[in-house]
Amino acid sequence: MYTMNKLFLLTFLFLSVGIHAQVPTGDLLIRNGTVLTITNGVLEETDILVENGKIKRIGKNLKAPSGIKEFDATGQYVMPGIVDAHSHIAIDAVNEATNPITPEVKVGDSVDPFDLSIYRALAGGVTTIHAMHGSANAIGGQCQTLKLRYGLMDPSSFIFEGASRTIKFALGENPMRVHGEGRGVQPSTRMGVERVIRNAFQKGKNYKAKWATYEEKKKKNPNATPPLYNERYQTMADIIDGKIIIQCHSYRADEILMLMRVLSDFGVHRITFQHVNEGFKVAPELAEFGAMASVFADWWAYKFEVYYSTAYNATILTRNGVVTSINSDSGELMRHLFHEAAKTQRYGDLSDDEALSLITINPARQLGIDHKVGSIEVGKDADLAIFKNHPLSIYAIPQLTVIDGIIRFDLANDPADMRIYIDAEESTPSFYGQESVEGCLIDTDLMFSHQH
Amino acid sequence: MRKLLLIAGIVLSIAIGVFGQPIEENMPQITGCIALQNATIVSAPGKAPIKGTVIMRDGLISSMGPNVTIPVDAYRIAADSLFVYPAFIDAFSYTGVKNPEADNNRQGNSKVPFDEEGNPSLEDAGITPFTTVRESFDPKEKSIAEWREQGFAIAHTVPYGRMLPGMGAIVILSGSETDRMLWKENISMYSQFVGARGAYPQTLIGVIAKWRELYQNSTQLVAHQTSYASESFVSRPDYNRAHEALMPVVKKEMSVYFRATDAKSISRAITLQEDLGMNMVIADVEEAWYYKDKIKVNQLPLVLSLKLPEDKEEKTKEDQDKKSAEPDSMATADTSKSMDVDLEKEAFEKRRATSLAEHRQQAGVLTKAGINFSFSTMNLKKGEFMKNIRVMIENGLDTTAALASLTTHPAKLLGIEKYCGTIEAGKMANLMITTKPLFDSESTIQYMIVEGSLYKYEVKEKKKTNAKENLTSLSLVEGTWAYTIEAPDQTRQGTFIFKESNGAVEGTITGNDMTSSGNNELESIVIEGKNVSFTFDIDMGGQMMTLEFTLEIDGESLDGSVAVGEFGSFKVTGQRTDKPE
Repeated sequence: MYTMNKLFLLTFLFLSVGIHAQVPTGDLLIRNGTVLTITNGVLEETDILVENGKIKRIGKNLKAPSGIKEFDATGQYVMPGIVDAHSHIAIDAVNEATNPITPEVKVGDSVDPFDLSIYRALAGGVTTIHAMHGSANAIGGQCQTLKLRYGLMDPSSFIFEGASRTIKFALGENPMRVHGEGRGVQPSTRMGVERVIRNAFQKGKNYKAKWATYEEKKKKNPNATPPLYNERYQTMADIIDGKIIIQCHSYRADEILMLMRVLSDFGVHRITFQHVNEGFKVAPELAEFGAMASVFADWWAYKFEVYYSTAYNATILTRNGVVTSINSDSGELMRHLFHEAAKTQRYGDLSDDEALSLITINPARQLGIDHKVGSIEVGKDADLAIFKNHPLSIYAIPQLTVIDGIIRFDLANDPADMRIYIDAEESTPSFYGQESVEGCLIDTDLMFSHQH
Repeated sequence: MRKLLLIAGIVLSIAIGVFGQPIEENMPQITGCIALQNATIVSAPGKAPIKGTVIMRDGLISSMGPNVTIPVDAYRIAADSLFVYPAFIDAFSYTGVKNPEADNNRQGNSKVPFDEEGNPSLEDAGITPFTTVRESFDPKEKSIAEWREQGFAIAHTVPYGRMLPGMGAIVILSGSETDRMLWKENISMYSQFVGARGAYPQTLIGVIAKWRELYQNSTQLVAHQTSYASESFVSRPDYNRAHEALMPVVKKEMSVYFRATDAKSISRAITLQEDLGMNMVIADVEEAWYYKDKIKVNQLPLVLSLKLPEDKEEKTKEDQDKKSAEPDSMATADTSKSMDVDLEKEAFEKRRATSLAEHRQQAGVLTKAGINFSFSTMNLKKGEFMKNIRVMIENGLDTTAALASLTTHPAKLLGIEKYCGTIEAGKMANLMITTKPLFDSESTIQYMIVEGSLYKYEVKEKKKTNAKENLTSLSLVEGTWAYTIEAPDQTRQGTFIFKESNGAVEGTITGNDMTSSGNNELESIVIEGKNVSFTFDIDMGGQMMTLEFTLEIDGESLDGSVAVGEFGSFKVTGQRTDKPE
């Protein structure tokens, strides 16, 4: 078996050119596809010209520079690369579960460029993921939006440049269980979760004031003493300053309303609720607040607080004007998010564009990357997914996945063993063919034994 | 004291100062001068061997060359057939350091106390940059003698711990007093991606976040202390032991030795260095080739691990070969398996073999890429050291680079190149004297000279005891023996048990305090005619001692002696109490 196929070699070539900063981009001409632009309708028999990783032109019979790599998409569907707004793949640490609030930790510090799940996600048309801290803490760590440039070795080359900073919050049972039950500290109840979050914001506010006072003093006295630097409360201050979008694990309507009240008290407005299974009950309130929602298509009743939900959730939220996405929270589900989006047509009759928006432009908005990805427009990043059959069809098969004009998955050239890192002592890789445990409560084993 | 040993009484009856003396040393040092006569000398990596004499006095090399005069008071070693090299320098190790984890029973389950912010104490957090290795250094720690025996005269050694265990020191691997052995203290800051147990920071992301915060606060403290010292009306700086201890790192007066064994840790350490800007040495590295371009561009000093992955496939093969070599084994039974080779497994195996080769080639590949490195013995078994160096040499590391990575490169890295790393007049008398050229597979160390102290090693003729030969004489010893050792203060009693195992003779010992180190297996059992000899390593309050038994068996009784280092030799008698059918 020759595992180093062309695709693989290609990425290695780029690697040797230069590891740092500059991520590789490519040129590509996609011929004659049915282009699902999302923001500008469907364009039949249309070409897309990609130069230096950006979409340069969209149109019929485009002239292209000679020698450019071409892909014939006749009879196939070209859509923007799928954006998964909630994922835990490609990172080596998910929960710093030793404190109810750990806003200072960043999962972006633990990016795992060798995670085979990245390639599997590519094989499902996913080009961007939101790698999230888990839900063990009321305020978990900062999340990281990643482009799935599988094949590159430097973890920093996976970072989505220009994406908004985001941070994980979690309400309800998980922080109560891990900290209240598991560690014997606040919060043990939903009231406690609110208190923990309020305290953190108040301390962030105080911290901010302390530094503002220092900056004032320093103008008159260059020897003024700065307060101790505290990365935890600096991060809270950044949230108050609107520099970070909150991504809050939540299920019940009452706790969703609770958090919006807390945020209002501290003047914070940027938030996406994650899971938000009872979002349909408070959709007008969410819309009024300007909160966004990222939901499962039809998954609930896996624990008590998430007993009440509906597959119409995404539709109801959408119809109420809430920017809504459908996410995976799973390395397996991520590989067919297009099916998950299609479920909204069975439950709620969303249009093709509305359904596809749930996994493209809407999650891009929630991550602050809609100026770069999420639709097929001139000037945007050439992050594309090409399907045989319409992506909302049950017969859809991903053919080609492109990031920055570079082919990262090609069904016609899809070797059996795509591992990059090989353990020299492991004859048969133990993870091969396996999906790791469900993400949200990884690393909390010490605190609590089971996962959901 | 539970660790009362067989010879504890003897120790007390002999002069007390004797205890710390090197056990390998056969000759009393009656003069501070040694002459190594007419040896083949490789004075530095890449230097052609010369025939000559080295004169050492008071811990220094006083002269060296073909025509030097030998002082009248010199202790002379005729080294005509021997080879002399600068002794090794270990760039990163735990040599001489006691592992406090061994005594610490607290595991993750017990609650760690924390303050109102939820933060544990610095100690529980594993953030102890203020700790010096002195606190856990023990001149009698057995690793000192073990690594000396492997050719090391100097080690950069660091304390055990978690995220920031503390500061390292340069240690001379000879002597009995901590003050004298710790040559240069607090020369490095040790860090690794190891979180606290059941406390913040527990995970990789916690450790990195904490590093950022500590570094920022230490930076602020440097500025604050400067203005506090020079200006008036400046409030007193906050005192935090960790921030204070990291000030030399912020000022770039002290390098951080970041332990990063695997590929991902290496890239994360590099990123941390880029983000914060400290001087960093990437240490105990096993997979540097993944990021070698970046290491080169960023000019990060590198300390390679001497560990190599175990080739399990090869081992299984060896085991199978051994099995089939046994006369009675079913040699044909296993071959049928190869008929239904799993193709997928075979493909995996191919890639695993490639990865294994990459590990073995790493040192050679880095040298060819123009990247210099030193070596680390951290967590390496002493028996693997020379074996692995030779594997690296077989896989492209040239011998000059190998020697440099163990002498001149670490000397430069640690800032001691003025004093050691080569054999030159004026430098520290750190020499290794071998029976064959250094990396030759037959070569063994006959003498070590560490700052002028001479250590002699028994050159054991590798007498391959044929299993079968030994077995024929099994009946001579097989069974249980009750022994009595007649030490001056009192007699000691116990049993030996000999039996056959895997075609060889195996033996165990029991007796008061004999097995305090948890191991009771006899080693190097040789049976010749009526004579039986074997050794047993005994833990004597942290220092390993070897008991060497030489016995003669006459039917059902034995008679002989046991040599206990320099405490002398004592009479042993015994009777067989049980013999299997």
